[in-house]
Amino acid sequence: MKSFITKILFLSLLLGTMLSCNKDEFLKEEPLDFLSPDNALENVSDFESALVDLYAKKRDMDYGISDESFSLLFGTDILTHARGISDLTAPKFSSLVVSLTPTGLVPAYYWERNFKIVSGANVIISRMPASKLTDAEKLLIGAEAKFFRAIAYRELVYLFGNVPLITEEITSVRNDLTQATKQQVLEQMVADFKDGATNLPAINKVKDGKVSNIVASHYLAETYIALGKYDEAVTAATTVISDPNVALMKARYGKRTSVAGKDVFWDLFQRGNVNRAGGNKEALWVCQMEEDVPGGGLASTKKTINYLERFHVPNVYGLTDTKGKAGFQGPKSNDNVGGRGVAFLRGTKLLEVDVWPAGYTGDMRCNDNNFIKDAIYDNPASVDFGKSVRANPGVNWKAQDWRFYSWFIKATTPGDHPTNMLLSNGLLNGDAGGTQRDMYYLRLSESYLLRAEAYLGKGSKDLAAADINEVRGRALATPVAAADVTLDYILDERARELALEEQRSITLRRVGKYVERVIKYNPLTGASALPQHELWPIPLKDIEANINGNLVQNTGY
Amino acid sequence: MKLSSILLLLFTLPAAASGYSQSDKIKLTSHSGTIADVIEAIENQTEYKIFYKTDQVNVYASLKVQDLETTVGSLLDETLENSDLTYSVVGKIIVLQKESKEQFAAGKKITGKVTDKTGGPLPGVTVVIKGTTTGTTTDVNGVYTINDVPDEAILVFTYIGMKTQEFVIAGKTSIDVILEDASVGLSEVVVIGYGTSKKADLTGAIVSADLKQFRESPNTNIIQSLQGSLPGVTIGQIAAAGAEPDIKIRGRNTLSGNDNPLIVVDGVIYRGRLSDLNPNDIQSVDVLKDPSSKAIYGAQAANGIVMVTTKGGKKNQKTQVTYSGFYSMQSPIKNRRNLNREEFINAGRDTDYTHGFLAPDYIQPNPAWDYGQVTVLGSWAFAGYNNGSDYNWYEETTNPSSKKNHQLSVKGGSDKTSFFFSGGYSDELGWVINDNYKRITTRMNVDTKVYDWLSIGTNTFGSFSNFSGQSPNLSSLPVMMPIAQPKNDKGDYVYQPMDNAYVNPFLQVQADDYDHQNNISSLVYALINVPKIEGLTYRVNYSYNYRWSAHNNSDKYGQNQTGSAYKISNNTNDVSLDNILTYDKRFGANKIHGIKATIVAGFNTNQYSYTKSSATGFSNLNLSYNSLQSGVNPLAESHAWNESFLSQTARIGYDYNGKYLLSASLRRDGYSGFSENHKTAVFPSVGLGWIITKEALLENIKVIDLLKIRGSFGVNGNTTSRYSSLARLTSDIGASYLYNGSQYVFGDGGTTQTGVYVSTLANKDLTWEQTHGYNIGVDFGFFDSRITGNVDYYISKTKDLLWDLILPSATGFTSIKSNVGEIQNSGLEFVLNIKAVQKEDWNWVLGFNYAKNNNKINHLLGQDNNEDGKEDDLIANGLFIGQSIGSVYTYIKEGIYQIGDVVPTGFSVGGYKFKDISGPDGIPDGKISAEYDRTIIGKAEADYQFGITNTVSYKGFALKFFINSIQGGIGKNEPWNDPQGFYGKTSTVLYTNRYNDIDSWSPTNPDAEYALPGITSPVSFSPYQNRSFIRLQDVSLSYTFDQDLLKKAKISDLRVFASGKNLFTSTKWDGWDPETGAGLEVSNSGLPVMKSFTLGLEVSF
Repeated sequence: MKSFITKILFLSLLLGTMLSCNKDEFLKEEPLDFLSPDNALENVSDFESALVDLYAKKRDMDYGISDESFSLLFGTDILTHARGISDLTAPKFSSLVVSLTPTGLVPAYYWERNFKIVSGANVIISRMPASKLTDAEKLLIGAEAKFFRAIAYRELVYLFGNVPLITEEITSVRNDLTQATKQQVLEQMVADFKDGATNLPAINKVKDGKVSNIVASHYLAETYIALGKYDEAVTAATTVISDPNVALMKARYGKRTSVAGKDVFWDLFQRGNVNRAGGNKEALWVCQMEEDVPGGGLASTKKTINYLERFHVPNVYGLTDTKGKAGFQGPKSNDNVGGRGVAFLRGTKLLEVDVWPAGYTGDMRCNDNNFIKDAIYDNPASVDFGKSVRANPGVNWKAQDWRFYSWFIKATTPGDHPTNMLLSNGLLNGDAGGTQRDMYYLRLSESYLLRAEAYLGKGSKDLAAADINEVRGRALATPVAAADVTLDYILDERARELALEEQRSITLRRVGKYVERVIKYNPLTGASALPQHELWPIPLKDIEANINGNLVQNTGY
Repeated sequence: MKLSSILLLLFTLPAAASGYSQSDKIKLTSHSGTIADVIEAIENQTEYKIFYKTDQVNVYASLKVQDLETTVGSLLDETLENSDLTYSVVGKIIVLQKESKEQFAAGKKITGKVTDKTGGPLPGVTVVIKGTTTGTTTDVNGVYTINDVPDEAILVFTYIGMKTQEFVIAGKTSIDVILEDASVGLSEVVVIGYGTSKKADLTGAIVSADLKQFRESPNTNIIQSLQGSLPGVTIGQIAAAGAEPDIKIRGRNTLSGNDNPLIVVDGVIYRGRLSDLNPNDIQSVDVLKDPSSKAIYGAQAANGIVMVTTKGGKKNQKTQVTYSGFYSMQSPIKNRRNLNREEFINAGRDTDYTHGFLAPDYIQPNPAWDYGQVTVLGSWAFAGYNNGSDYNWYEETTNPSSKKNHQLSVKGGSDKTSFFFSGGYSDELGWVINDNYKRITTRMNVDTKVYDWLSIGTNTFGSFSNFSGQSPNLSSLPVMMPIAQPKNDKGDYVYQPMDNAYVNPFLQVQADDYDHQNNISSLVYALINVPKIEGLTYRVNYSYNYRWSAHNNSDKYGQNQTGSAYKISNNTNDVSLDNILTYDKRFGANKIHGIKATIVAGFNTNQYSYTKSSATGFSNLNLSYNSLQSGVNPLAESHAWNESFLSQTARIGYDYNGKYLLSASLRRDGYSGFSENHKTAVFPSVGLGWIITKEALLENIKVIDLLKIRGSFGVNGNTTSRYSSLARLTSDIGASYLYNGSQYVFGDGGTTQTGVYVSTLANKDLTWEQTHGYNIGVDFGFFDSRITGNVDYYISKTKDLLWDLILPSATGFTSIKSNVGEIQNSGLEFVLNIKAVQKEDWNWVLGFNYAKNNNKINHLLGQDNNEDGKEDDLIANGLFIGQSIGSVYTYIKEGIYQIGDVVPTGFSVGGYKFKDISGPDGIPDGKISAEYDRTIIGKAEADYQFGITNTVSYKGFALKFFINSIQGGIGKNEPWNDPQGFYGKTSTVLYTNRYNDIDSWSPTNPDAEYALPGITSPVSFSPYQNRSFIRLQDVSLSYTFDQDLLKKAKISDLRVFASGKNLFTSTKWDGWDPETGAGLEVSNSGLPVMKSFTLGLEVSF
């Protein structure tokens, strides 16, 4: 009998395990290695992290290594695909009919990424009221988030025209979007930039790379111009220009002043000279790149992001000599070879020749320091060793004219590549090709040219000319006469000053001159340009996914 | 041998033959009450098997039995004293029958030998003259002699576990017989989840794998042995060493939820790698396909369940030691290679045809065209071009592959304990250099009876896999230009031989790589026969599965030759506990009502943890990966997750006289991964069966042995991935490129700041995906089971499909996990087994299986926004009402633009021409647009699949072959790396090498299948191709040695075999293989399928 009781006890014990579990507790799901937004955006540091992501996303969009990166430079009046449509590599924007389709990757790239920034900014703005932020922190954080929302809409509105205007965090299914008018979007941008101009700290109070009140003022001015509000634009731009903490750099400065024979325009694009910490008072907003630090974007051992060198510098090291033999030893970090260029993004004739004075004299920006126009064969084994490439064109350059062209040193860092990219024989390894320094989003010279645009809009040509001449004066170029100032002149001046820095496609579309100027100055892209190309197509994917709303495709697509 | 082994038996032998039964001791307890109990006691406690015919012997007739210890003989004498039954004993077989008064007819003497398929003699087979009770049994050598057989008589051969066979005497005096395994016989027991069932009692569709059919194949994964042989179960080919095959059962029941079947090993849900299970340890594999059978696993059942049972010993069994092993040589089924120097340069000329050939027709080569001058070559490649280099990278980076396999097992048992121990070793050398795989497995299955009422046991295994050694990325091999050389003049490897981002594939091989994956699993169980309540048992299963892996690597060429190293370790802990109460009893007059009830309660928790430390920039790597702190860029990373399941299940089975069957189950499941509002759900099922041949009407129709109809209904769930209902705040760290992602550094010399963003939207109402399905099936057997088989038809609907509903990206999100719509799967499955020839020495068995599955989308969001009276498709998601899930929605290719054609703006000569299907006004508008010119051109799913097995045996020889085929279904077959890459794809040919079998356009090859590489088009398009194939998948020849010979060498069994796998494939698919879907594209995943030749042997002592 005793054994029977033991059995029953044993059985009861086991059966007990069947019932002894608290279901709700047992099935509760708690993430272990990620945070949930419900409880994670509370303190100021949480919100600052959310802002950091916006900076990172912006950098990734503009300087990342997606196939679509740098698309806002290609196919414009001043820059074109070097190799042309008839050649071997199918190039960016060689044909607008190919590049700009509703299923195209380029429109989708800028659409998605800018809206992702809008979404990130909206999360911050919508979560702030319930958070633990103080009122002062709310103003500061909110202004920075709004700045990013507006900077994203800036690209969206100029590229796509009427776009959905979303100003609240989306927390559940939304497929009922409709478009706001371009006017409505611009007005929202004005409100957001105004908030930034008011509430963001002064430029001397922010870390390098962070946006300040005058950066917001600059874009506020730009948006006013788009709305035709020139007086407001002048006021906003003047806030920037008159800020005592900024000034055009007029004398040599920074880390490489020891390199003799160079000038201030050259100094502006040297490693370590771009941020204000490097003595630069002209930089307003700089895209941060830091070598060998997580999040720094650059690696001294690897081509990571920012392929401007690769894209813009011609393929000098691959040039053959007049006998068809290797004319160069290989990729080198100097003014002659320019690194590891592969020749994708070259200037149009407008940028290479026509905007400059005859003989390239009388403008610092096109002198031999800053604009390289020839190369010297450097292969001792070549019959043409030591001779000029232009004077002695080699076999492959004669066959393919894209292999060499004049190029701007601001695309790279000649003589100053990280040592990890150098092979023992002094050549650059296969991972070179990135531009290894910080990149300007905004320089004060652009604010002068922007205010000139506003003055021109008001009809004050003399004031416009004065602003332009501030910029020209620094470059030791002859002043422009007030009578000669036109919108096209300003666009040309921007080309001289800001080529490869400004997102040229945005500038042209902002002023409504994309199709006109691309037909006029870019034979390759212009050949396929149609009136509809002033705007990009809305991605078809979004139209299809927006099943409960209506997104109207831009005319002509 | 339980009561389940009911056999026909009709013969008499003198009771005097019952010599042994007098001495074997047997113990009975007083509660035993029927003949059945006596039989069971004898079978359990002794080696005797008892046969009787059910219509002669009512084993449920009551008896009065006291507690006693006696001999088998006296027990039977006593038990049967007052009944109309007698018994006879031959060897270890006891036959019960009615006392017979029949007289023997005069006739002649017949002798012969009975063997199994492999030629092994079968002792104890009963041989009787049909229609009489005259008969005998075979002796230890399988030989029988039977006297007084009339000329017109038919001999019936029966043996437990084998199919009964009949032979007409027809004047012969010697008849040798080969008996077949009763693999589709109703006596078979199948594993059904928390218990077993006789196949006869099933009301659903469960298939059991015939593991013997493929035992000569060099399969190191048990699932490979099921490939193509189970209708409705689709198993993918594997290509990489030690890789896991893909399993799909009865089509896709989900759009984006988990679509892998649930694997249950020895009754416990198993989440590890299937490759960790040693195929030699597997006793049986049963696949639960229909909704009612699956319902027992409720929320995880929707994709089918694979029940794996491992081997065990038997009580009172002589210890047997078995060794088996094979050696296999493998090579890709296709001889593809990359272009040599001359072909490579010519391909470049074709690509650059506008310069490489002379206008206007571009047929004459342009003598001025020079590859070295039109390309941008780095100095090393340019030098190679100039000095005539022609290096075959592809051949140098691949090698003949081989597999070695050794298995040793020991099994046996005493009267209380049975055991099975095994050890296995596999060594696989992959086709790509350094793709190696070694595996050691061990297993210990022990069961012991502690008391009469309590048994305990364990099934424990360990599996230790070694994947060490880094092989080059497959995609980096065929792209290497023949003009580039791997080593420089000094004999050192060149880092980037083509002077572009492609790193020398030989460098990866130099890495110090340690990659071990280990798995230890222990199932401990206790089984209690609850006293006082007859038929009630309680079983508790506790299982702990610990899997851990370490992957350490150091590569001095890593991070651009500055050196990189990392250590990764991760582990997974799965714990489960199931309490199972089973009540199994028969009631009523003659025990005509059978009830089997099961109640289960259990839980399962899974935990995962991952840690990685890495560094780059080493001055030297002498300490390999063991001193990461010597690097300059240390990085640490860790991840973890938890999930839990909770379930309660009840199942009841009822049968009336084994003729009418009913089963029903109900399961309540909870899963942590579901949203707050939907943590638990209930999954019911019901099934009915009717064995028509048990009706009096059919019992006398001898042609039909078996006819059974069954029908069932069930509801199953499908889980989604854990955490999918929660919103996530994410940081992208090192996601795509080392330094990008969410991190940013403000200021020169600043420190890293890490950003966060909301990456997914929460869905608090995310609910279970539920599949409701019906199955109706017929099992049949004709002509004494010469023809057997079954047919199943099913239809199932899955509602509330888990789906990443695509959102307009303007929301900032690409999709949200949602429940949408309904899909339907319906299909037909058919199995036929035919014993075509059954002669003394010759046997031919033919098996055929066929399965067809159709799926279609019934509903999506239920909206009709365009007001056309038809529910709207979700074009952005590629989902269309009334169409298959895998519909391919794209343009229709209408050839290639030729020189001289009028080519629309944006298109080019050599590019694809597309059909202008429609336009904004509903008619072709002369423009190709995504909106109006795409249509459904086919579906990814196959139309049907079939398998044919054949076994021809002659004496000890057996020749088997297996043909597998999948018909229908299209797949993307893109010959170029990056068809729509923004810079175009010319580089594929000009700057990288490629395979030699790509039929691409050039002026001299105008009728090509594929476009000229490198051209752009406003239309983004990939070609699709039919994936149908028919494959001779397995062929084997084995020889089983005669046991008389072996006896002298004290060997009990010896078999040698040779086999071939994937020897021949017929398909129109281009590239590697239609079954894997690896085509022409250069990719890392697309390893070729291997064909192999194997030699092996199996020996037991």
